[in-house]
Amino acid sequence: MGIPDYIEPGKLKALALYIHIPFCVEKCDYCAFYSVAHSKAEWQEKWLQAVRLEFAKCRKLIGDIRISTIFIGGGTPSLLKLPLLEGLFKEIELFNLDGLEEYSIEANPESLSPDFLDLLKIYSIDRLSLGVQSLQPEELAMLGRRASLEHTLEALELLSAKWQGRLNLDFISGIPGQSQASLLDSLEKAIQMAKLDHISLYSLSAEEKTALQRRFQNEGLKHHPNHDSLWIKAYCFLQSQGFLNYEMANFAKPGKECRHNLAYWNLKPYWGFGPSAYSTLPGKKGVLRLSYASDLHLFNGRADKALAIESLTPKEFLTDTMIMGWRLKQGVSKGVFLRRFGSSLEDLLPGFYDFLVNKRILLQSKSHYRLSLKSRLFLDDVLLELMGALDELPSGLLRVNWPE
Amino acid sequence: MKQENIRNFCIIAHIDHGKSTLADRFIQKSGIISDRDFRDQILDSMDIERERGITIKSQAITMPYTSRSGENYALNLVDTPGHVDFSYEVSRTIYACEGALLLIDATQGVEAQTLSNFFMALEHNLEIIPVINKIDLPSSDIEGVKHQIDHELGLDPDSALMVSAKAGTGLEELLEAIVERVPAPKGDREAPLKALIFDSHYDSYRGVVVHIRVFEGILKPEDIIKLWSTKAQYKVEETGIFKISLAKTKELCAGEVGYFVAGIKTISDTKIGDTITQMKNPCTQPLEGFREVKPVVFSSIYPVDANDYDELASSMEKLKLNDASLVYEKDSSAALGFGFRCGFLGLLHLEIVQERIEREFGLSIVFTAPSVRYYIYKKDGQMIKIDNPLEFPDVTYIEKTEEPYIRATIMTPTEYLGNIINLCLEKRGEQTSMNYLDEKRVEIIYEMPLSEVVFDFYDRLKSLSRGYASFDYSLIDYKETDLVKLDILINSKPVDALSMLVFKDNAYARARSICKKLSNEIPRHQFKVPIQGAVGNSIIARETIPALRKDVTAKCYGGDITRKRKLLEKQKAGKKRMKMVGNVELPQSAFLSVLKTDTE
Repeated sequence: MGIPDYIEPGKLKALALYIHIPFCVEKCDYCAFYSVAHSKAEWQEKWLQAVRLEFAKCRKLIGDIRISTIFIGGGTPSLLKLPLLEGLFKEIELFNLDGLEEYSIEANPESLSPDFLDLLKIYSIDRLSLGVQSLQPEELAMLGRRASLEHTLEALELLSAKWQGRLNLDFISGIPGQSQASLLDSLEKAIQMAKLDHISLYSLSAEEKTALQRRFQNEGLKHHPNHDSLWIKAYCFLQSQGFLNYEMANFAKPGKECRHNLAYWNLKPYWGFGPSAYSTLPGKKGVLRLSYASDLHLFNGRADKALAIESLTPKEFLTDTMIMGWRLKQGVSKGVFLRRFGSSLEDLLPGFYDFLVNKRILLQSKSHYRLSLKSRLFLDDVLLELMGALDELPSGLLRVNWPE
Repeated sequence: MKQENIRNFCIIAHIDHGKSTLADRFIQKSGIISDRDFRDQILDSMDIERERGITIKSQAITMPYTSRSGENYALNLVDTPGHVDFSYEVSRTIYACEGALLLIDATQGVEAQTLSNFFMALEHNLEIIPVINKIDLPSSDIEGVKHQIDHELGLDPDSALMVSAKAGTGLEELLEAIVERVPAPKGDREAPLKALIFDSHYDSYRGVVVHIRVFEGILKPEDIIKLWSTKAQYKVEETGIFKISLAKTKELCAGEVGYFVAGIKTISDTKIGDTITQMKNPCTQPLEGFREVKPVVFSSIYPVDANDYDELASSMEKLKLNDASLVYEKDSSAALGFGFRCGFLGLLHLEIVQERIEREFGLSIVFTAPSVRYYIYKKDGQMIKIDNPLEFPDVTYIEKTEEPYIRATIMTPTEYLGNIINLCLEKRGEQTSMNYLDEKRVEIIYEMPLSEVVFDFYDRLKSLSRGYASFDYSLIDYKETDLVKLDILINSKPVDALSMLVFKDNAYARARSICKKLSNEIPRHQFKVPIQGAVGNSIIARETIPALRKDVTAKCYGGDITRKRKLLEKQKAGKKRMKMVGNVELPQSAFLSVLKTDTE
C-alpha cells in the first residue's frame, strides 16, 4: 500500500510530527504503549533505517510544508544509543523546520544522562517530558517501575542543574495504596526540585493486555477505592500552585501548554512514525486515519506493509473532534466547527444542543463550545448522547472540510 | 413397506461425539436430498441448535436403503435431543425404536452422556450397536475405547463398528449392520391402532404435525382417532413420512415412523409420550411410560423496552406453537413493567427460550432469577403455592414452608467422587445410596432440594468432574424448609425483579455473590451507586459502584482516538439494552449475571 495514493498534501498548511521509539529496558506493569523490552542493538538500527525510509516518502509527498511541532515519544527515547538518536535528529532536520513551535522528547529517569541532555541542546530540542509517576518508593514498586526513587531524584537534580528548556513531569493518580498525602507529597516535592512548567496527571487505568490488568484480574489487586476524590484533590492542589488544568489530564503554567498535544486535541493534521504510531491526515476523499501495526519487525522489514489506512466517515470525524476537543478546558472553537462541518452545532444537531443547554452542560461562551468541569469529568456520557444524536442525522447532511 | 424391511433406530451419544455429522452422512448417502441443497447438521433446523451443537427438538427421517443382498429397506432415523432437561423426550424417542447406534468418539472414549443414554436404551431393550467415530484423527485410541466398551458397558467390543462420520468412511458397513442387527419392528397390523407420539411441530399451513411411531394397527386419512390422555378426538387429514420435507402416504402401518395431520390447533393439545388409538376399535391399554411434563423452573420475562410488550406477547404465542413444554401467564413488576411469568423444563430450556426470543423475534429481554414452586402454609391454615418471590407473604403470617425435592442420580468416575459428594452436601443433599458399578465408576443417589439444582448445580457438577459425571433427576415430594425472601436494593431502591426466595442459611452467601456480580455489570454513573442485599429490614450484603471519572482522566492522545471512539460505540450499543430502574441504568447482563454461578 503506497501512502501517496491516499493523502492529499495540497490541503496541508502545517504538520505535527510524532516519532515512536518502541524500545524499553523492561515493560512497566501499567503501560499499554507499544514497546519491545530487551531489544538487540541491531533491531534499533533497523528501526532507524525504516524510519528514514518512511520520512523520505513523507517528504517527497509534502515537499516543504512546514512542521509545526515535533514529539519524540515511546517507549523510552532516552534508551536509544546516542549515535542512533543523533542519526534520528539529523534525519528530522531534513524536514522544513522553519518556524518550528515546539520540539519535545520523552525520557525516563534511569536513562537520563548529561550527554543525552547535551545532545538535545545541540539539536534545539526545547522540551523534555520525564516519566516520574510517583516519588514514593512503594508506589513505584506497585507500578512495576524500573526506576527507583534514587534514580528519579538523581534525574531531577541533574535536570535542575543542566536543563534549560521546558520541562514536563508525568504523574499517576489512583495507584493502589496511594494516599492523598502521598500523591500531594510527590507533586509538591517535584515542583520544589525542578523548574517544571507542565504536569501530566494520569489516572491509573488497567489497559488491555498489560501486566497490571492481569494483576487486577488474577491476583486480586484492588482498584483504588477513593480514586475520584484523590484526583480532585490533586487537581485543586495543582491549580493552587499555578499549574492550570487545560486538558483533562494536563496542567501547565499559563502559555506553557504542550503545543504538540494541542494539535491532537484540536485535531490538526499529525503524522506519526514508528510501530503503533497513528496519523490523522487529509485524504483525497476525506479524512484518513493511518496506523502502523504494533510490530517492530514488520515495521523494520516492510513498513508500508505495517501501515493500515482507514477513511473516517464525516460522523466519525465529528465524533473524534468532540472526543478530543471537549477534553480541553477551552472546548471546541465555534469558528473551527463551522468551517470544519459547514454548519454550527446548534443547526446541525438542535436536539442535542438543547440537551447540552438544558442540562447546563455547556458553559456560556461566544467563541467556544465549552463544557463545565463536571461535564468534562463525565465526558463519556455527553459523548454517548452526541453519538446517539448523530445516529439520527441523515448521513448525506454532513460534509467535512479539513484542515479548515 | 413390509415390516421385515423396516428398521427404526436412533443415535445416542455424548455431546460433540459426532451425532449430527453422522446423521448428515446417512441423509446424503440415502440420496433423498441433493448435494446442492445439503447443509451441515441438516436435522438441527434451528440456528441455536447448529451453534450450540446440540439437538433441542427430536427429528425423524425415513431413508431408503438397498442392502448388499439387493433387498430394499426403509431406515427410520429418529434423532434425540441431547440434554438432561429433555430426558423425558429422549426416553420417548428411544421407546419409538428397536435399535440404537451408541456413538463414541475415538479420541474421548465413553463419557457421561454415553452412559446415561446407554442405560436408557438398555432399559427399553434396544439392540445397541457400538460405533466408534473419528477413527481418522491422530489422537484416536481405538483399543482403549474397545476396552471401555467391554468393561464399562459390558458390550462385545468386537461388535463395534469403525467410522469417520466426517470423512464418510465405514458408512456402508454401518448401514448393513443396522439392517442385519437391529430387529425389524413387530406389531400386528390387524390389531386396534396403538401409536406413540414422540414429538410434534407446528406448520403454518397444516397446523400441528404429530410425529408418531405406530406399534399396532394402521392409521389412515379419514380415521377418527382419540388421544389417550386428553380423550380428545380428531379426524385424520393426512398421513406421511419424513423426507426432509413431509411426504404424504396412503397410510401408516404397525412398525412405521411418520406423521399425521388432523386439524389440531395448538401443539399443547398433543402430549409427548401419549398414545393414539381409533375411536371405533380402540386398544385396551395405552403404551407405558407416559408422563405429563410439568414445568419445574419458573422465571419472569420482561422486554427491556416497555414498548415492546405487545411484540413480546406475540412472540411468546409463536414460540408456544412449537414448544408445548413452555407455559406462561401475564406478570408485572414495579421495576420492569409488564411481562410474563413462565415455566420451563429446566435451565437449558430457559436459556433456549431466551435466545429464541432474542434471535427469532429480535427483542431484548431480561429474565428474573429462576425459582421453583414453594408451598407456603399460613398461620390461618391456608396453603398457597408460589413460584414468584413477589407473592411471598409477610413472614409473620407464615407457619411453615415446603420446597420440592428431587432424587438425583449421579454416575461418575471414582476419582471425582469426593468433589461431587462435597458439592451435594453443599447443596443440602442427603445420600440415599452409593453403588460401585465397577472399580472405576460409581453411582450415587441423593435427595436434594430442586432449588439447589436450579441454581448452578449442573454447571458445577460438569466442571468438578471434567464433564464425566452424568446426572439425571426426578421429582419426589415436598419437604419442610426455611425460606426467606432476599431483596436487592440498587441505589437504596428495592428492585423487585431481582428478588428471590432462598434457603435461609444460603441467604448471606447468595446476597454477597449477587451484589458482587451486579457491581461488575452495572456501569458507572455520575453518582455512587450502592448495591445492597436485604432480608426483611436487615442489610446483609453491600457493594458500591464508584462514580465514573477515571476513563476521562486517563491519557488520551493522537493514537487513542480510534480506540476511544470504538469503546464509546460499544457502550452505546450496550445502552440500548439497558433498563432504567429509578435513576440507575441496569444492563440486561446484570439480570443474567444473577442467574449464573461464580466458580470460586
